[in-house]
Amino acid sequence: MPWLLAAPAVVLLAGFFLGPLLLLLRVSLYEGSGSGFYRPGTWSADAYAELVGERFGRGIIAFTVALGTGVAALSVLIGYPLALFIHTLPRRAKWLALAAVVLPKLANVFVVLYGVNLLLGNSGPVNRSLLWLGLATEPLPLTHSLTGVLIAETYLILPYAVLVLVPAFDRIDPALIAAARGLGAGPWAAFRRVTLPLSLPAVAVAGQLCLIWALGAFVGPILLGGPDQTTLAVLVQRHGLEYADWPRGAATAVLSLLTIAVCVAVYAWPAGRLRRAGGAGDV
Amino acid sequence: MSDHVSRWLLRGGQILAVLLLLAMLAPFGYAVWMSFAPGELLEPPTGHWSLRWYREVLGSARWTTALRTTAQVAGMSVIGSVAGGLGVALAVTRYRFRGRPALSGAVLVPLFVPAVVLGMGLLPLVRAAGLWGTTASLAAAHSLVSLPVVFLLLRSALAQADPDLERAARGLGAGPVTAFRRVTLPLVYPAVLAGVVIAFILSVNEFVLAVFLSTPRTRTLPAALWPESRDKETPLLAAASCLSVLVALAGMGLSAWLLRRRL
Repeated sequence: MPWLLAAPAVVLLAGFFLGPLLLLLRVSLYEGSGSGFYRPGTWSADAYAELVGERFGRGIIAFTVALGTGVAALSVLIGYPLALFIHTLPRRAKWLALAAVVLPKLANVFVVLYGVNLLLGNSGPVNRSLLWLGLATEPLPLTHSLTGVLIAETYLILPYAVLVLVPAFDRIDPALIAAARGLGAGPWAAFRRVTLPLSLPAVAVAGQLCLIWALGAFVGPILLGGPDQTTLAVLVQRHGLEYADWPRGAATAVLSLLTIAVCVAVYAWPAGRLRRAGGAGDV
Repeated sequence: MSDHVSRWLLRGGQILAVLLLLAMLAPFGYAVWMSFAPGELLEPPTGHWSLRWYREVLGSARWTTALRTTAQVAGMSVIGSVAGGLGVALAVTRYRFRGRPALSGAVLVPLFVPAVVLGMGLLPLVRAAGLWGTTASLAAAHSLVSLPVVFLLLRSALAQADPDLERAARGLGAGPVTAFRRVTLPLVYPAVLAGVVIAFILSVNEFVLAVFLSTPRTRTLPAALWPESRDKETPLLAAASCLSVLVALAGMGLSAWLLRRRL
């Protein structure tokens, strides 16, 4: 009976998730072909050798990891105080603030990144006000640059950090903070000694989610980046769709998954420390 | 740190947080504003507002077809993800069986695989399976994206619905299907509806899988906007995007109305 209930999902997962991922492995090992998508019946590891062996490929892997780590760190560092602020708001204002965080997620990613692009562009309001205030003598290159990609991706990932952290702050018993204050701790000491340690496990979770999603960065680099901001995900699309070179596209996709797996495994170490520092288990 | 200084720091932090929240809304607001621009240039309208770009979008077959495909794909993908998510949620909350934790875990895995990777794998699969150029292939791909979210929602709702009520119905002679329809479903109805809305919105906005799987005949709105966003710089993109937000809002409104009528 339970498997009968699960059947639709299992069929969907097997056919449209596991199937494609296995096929991806096979396709990545075909020989490329100038005319078709690949040469059937062949085996070759050229696509991988090219990516890992050449400077170009290694540079893209390094950039993907650096960007993913940077965006995840920014999202958690900005998301933490923002979530703390939202947590302290009265009920109605809290819902409004959460709606403001979630609303861009209801619109398609184009409309929001298009807005970001317009705002940051050479003749956009940000650059115009900087010029007007005399803080810059010429428009800053905020789009088609690393700055643009960082802003765009952080903008897309930050809401997830906030959505993980706000409920975590809500779960902390206010009596603990009141007790600390009653025992003579100032607001800063109460935060540092009570709220901060109790929230660290949630910070570890938020960091992990942001890292996974930021490592797959695609839209930000494409819409607000230049050629120097090519990530693995962008390269998958370029090989697979634009050049119709499936073996290279598939190999890049497999490497992208491996990169995520390695980064998550490495991240498990600081995350474990955060969790222990939070004293999970003895609260 | 004196109390005075820390109070000022706190106030400053609060102002920064409010500014940040407003900044997060700004790109969306700016794009909506831009969509009413009267000219070809990317100048937000100040005195003269116009619906020109909306007329252009709604007047061309290219965009209306895309809007129709978007709604069709979203509708089909909702069926897939809600049927799948509800089934698994019922299985893991109402039965104990071997492989239960593995099943819960497997349903969540698609959350952690980048859409580009999945798209690259689906491309050869859909071609080999003869599903190339069908809205069904797009809908199935979109179902996968929303399946984990719908599952999480329904699992928590079902875990809160008291299984004793179902047992009581069964004891009073109701079959499993009747017990589900008359007791369990009404209890988790709001969560089901929320799942429908979320799955619908995710599909309407999804664009990476749509770019990989759509053909000229089956282009969803985001996939049709994609080349536009790289080549042309007119307010048309803003207007078309705002229309897709309207489609999403219409879906939400419809569900809210259904929910109110039901309660």
